[in-house]
Amino acid sequence: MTLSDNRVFQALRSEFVCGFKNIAEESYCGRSGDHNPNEAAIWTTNGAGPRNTQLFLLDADGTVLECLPGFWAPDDLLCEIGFAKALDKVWHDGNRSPAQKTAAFVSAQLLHLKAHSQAMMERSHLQGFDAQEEEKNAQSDLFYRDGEFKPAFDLMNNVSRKYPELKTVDQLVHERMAKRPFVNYDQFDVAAYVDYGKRRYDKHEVDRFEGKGKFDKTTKTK
Amino acid sequence: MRRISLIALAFALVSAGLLYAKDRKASAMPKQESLVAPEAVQASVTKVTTTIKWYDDLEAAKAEAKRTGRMIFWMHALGELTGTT
Repeated sequence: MTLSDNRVFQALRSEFVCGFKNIAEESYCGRSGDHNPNEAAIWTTNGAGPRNTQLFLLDADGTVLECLPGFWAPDDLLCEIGFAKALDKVWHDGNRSPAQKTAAFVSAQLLHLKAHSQAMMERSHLQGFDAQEEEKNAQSDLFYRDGEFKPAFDLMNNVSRKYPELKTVDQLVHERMAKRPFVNYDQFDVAAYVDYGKRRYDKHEVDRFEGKGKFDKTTKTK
Repeated sequence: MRRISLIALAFALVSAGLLYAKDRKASAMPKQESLVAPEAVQASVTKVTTTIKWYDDLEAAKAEAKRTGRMIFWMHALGELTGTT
């Protein structure tokens, strides 16, 4: 429902050429319960369902400026769109060498994650089943390492503090993008980029809707 | 000196992204885990799939982006576009 949010919708219509790829046959594609457009949907956290959907922000030549795995809330998608537009200007800056462009890309990615709002971080905590999956892997880059940015979790809401040893997804995506400066879409390693959390899950939206009738009637977007 | 200019550039890039989002009138963010009624989902799907032209060929999208001076929003999804909101 993010794409139908008026602000996102207008940005897509006026500033982007939009395209779509069904990834059902891709090796990295995950699995989830079936959802039809005539059934209830659910608002979830940023980065939820990383293997089921990916949003790429590309230069006209196919260079990947940003890749957002899974669901993203409208405010946060807009924030990342603005960032990608700024990166695109660097990509086209004729006064910078390739090495300078790469350095700017990496620095900007690592700086941007520190500038995210608290609200964005709170919308970006891992879902419980994804966090539990990551906790089994001591090598996961979702664990904070020495020298890495760590937000003040004591300021966050209770849900976000539930797994304080794990990064939020808004941080993870910028760290992973920083390792892929100005890569063309054809060479972008989607499988590794979206590799976190469980491969199969089901949030049972339909059951929740039909069972309790508990939904936000005022909400127009997912 | 070069390092300072790199930091300044990175800062400018970050600021640009934040300002882009801020410039757009904020709407109330729904609560996580809140459900959306089927009618609203269907309306959303219709809006997104009928008003925006969606390319399924990246090369064609790139040609159009170059022609119009725009960037590309390229979405991967499990399933068809009509199931995307």
